[in-house]
Amino acid sequence: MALDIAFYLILAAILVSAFAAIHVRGHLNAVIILSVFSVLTTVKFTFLQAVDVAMAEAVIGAGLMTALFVTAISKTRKRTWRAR
Amino acid sequence: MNHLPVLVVVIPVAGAFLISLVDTVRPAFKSTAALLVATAHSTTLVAAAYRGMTGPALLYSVGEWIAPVGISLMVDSFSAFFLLLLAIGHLASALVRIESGDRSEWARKSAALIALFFAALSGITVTADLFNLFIFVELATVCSIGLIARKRHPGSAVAGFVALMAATISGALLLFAVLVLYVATGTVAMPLVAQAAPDLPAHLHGMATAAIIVSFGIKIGLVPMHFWQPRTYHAAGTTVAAILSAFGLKIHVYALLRLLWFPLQAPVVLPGVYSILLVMGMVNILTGHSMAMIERNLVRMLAFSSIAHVGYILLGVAAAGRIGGSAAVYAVAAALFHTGMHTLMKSALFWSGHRLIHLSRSSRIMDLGGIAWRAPGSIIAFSLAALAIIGIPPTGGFASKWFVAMAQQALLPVLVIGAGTVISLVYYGRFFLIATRRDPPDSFPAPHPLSLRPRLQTAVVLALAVAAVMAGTRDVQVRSLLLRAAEGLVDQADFVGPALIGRGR
Amino acid sequence: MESPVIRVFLTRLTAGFLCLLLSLGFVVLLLDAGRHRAQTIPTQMEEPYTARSVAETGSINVVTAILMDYRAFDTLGEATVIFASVAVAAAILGKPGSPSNRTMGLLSRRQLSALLPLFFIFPLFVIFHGHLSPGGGFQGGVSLAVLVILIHVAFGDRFGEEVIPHRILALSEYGAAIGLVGIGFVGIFQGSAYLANVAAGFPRGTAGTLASGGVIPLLNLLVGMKVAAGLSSIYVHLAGHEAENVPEKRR
Repeated sequence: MALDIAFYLILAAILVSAFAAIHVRGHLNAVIILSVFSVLTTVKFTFLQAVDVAMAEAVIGAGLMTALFVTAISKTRKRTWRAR
Repeated sequence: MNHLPVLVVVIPVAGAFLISLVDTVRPAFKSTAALLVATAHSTTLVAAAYRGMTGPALLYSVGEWIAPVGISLMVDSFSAFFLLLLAIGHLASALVRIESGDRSEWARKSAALIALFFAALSGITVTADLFNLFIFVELATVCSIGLIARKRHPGSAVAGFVALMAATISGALLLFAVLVLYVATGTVAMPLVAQAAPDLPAHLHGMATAAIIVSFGIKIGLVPMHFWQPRTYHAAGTTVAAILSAFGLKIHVYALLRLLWFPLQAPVVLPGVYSILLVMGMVNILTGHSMAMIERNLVRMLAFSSIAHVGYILLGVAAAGRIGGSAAVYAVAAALFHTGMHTLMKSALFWSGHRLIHLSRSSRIMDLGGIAWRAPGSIIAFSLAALAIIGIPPTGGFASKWFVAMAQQALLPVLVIGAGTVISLVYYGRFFLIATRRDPPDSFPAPHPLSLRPRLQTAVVLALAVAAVMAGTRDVQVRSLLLRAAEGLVDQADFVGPALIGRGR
Repeated sequence: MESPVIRVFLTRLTAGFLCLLLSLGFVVLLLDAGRHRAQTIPTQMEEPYTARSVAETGSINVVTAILMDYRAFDTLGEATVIFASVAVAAAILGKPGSPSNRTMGLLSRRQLSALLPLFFIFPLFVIFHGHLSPGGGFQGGVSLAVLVILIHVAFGDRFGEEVIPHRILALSEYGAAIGLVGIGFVGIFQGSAYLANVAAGFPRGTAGTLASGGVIPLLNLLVGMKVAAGLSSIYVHLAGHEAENVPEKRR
């Protein structure tokens, strides 16, 4: 019962984080929220006993994608600051 | 077991890895390696196509796991026809792209990317598994994005991004269709899906069909979804545009036909879809030709012409689906004829256009005035291919358009074909008149220093153009080949049977 | 007159509504599809896998058995997609140019240099135990790539380039890729099919031990190597990308 409630809470949190990632101001914030989304998805997959997929989601979504996005933002950031 | 179906995919994949390795260790031998890979791949493709044309359908189970658990590949006479086109394509594009010393990172990677692109196209052609098809479509997409978006080329990053967005939507829709079919039928093997398709609820079947048509419609440039193509081809440059339009586009047409006829069983279950395709084909012809007429840029003009010619292919396909039965074979053969002809004509046009654009350093039609006198071989090839693509009587282009028109049951599509022919006569004729102007400007700018081999390129282009013209006069041989290929699509019985053996396992 | 704020709000509302509609339609359609399958065919696909995979492949992880044996051709295709995207990233970003030498603070670096060797245990375990426990070559390979990125971020790109030169990354990627394609040919030479496992004579071993599953551990290792090298070289290209070719905004 408690596990069920936790599962539905996580589902709700996934939806909230997805909305937040779209509507938040600033690319960096969006990327960080996206990695939170990935972590929550990982937990969801673990609940559903798909551990293989959970592991892939964790390393790709939360680890690799975040690193690549942040690097890309840091490469373009200089220019936008100077333009302002 | 005959290993040809898997070899046509694996050889170019291994070849692409080898090209990259050679490029890192001994850069001087990269062109040789690329040419070797292309030759090996084309030979395998021709062997597989020969086997598929002459014998019964060739089935292959990768890893000896038969259909429901494993991935099966198949080569029948229908896919054999497209394998033949790919064989021409890989060899010709390797010959045309032998470079002289461009050491930019893009030039270094493009040889491997082209080999991978043709590997992906071969994979799409041979696979009999929906998810495997999705993976090869993705591979082809990734490779084409790399070929489009070159560094330091104006507009190419934006064009690459637009193409990526279009491809993402297309890929998502294809995945959605595969997912619906998998959940509803419990399998992704095409023969088993085909068996379950007639029992599917109408809304599931309809949504899957719609998603597949839109997905591949984006790839082949059905009219509301064509927005990314001219921009992309323009940014990609003529050599890559020829590969994307003449070969990549045709294989996506193949995938659409295969999915409609085989796993979805559309002629039986959902014949209404072909009326939609008929309308879309006519819209494509009219839009493509009229946009090409007002276009001032040679590459974009050719791109819009491609969009128009997808319309002709669709008209043949739609006629086939609407007739049904054994008469459908003739209509499919007409569509295939035009597919093959357009491959030859459009690759010849793009590649000979490459030389013209290279000499004048501009792709605007007005800047190409009098260019014909500096590249006679290219303009001859261009004119021959243009004659064929307009549809002047003895050429292959005329014959294929004629067959497509003959297959129609209504008057309106025939009128549209006629109107399209007239419009294309106008814009190709206009280009020819400008290019052969007698008063060439005194000084063309100096050609770009990185030159591809002009003589070899001209020879390849001339061969393609002559083939496109000659196909119209070799009617009997061509027709028997096409009918055999069309039978492969329409009568699937000869390979559905053996594939189902795996079911009881 | 509408104010721009209202227009933006309305656009977002419409977009959100459309997204919601699309995803709802998607869910409804999939549920329908599932109901249809339950009525017509009880199971066709899953049962062969769960019931037979241990006996047929020797791998006690069913997911790995599917990825690396039953549908290994798909995995080969996916690995090739990664290879292609590395080539695309290289083609678009160009040669990795001047690496920056920014590093993390002293404390982080000291701590990391003590902990990093331990960090490497996890991906190696995931790769080598792919057929025994959750995970496999792909997940382990991505974790390895993340560790390479961590070295770059923590100790500076120049140090990262010294420890793991880009050339080595590229060569190991190509080598692993060729090995992956080459292993498939063993099946052909053994008279079986491409990428065959037990059918090509690879020993099945005792299920549950490290040396089991025939060719699966080897495929895991190669996929892991290839994915790790490929993804980290995407990062190297991105990090070494010279930003100055972006045209400056004129004032």
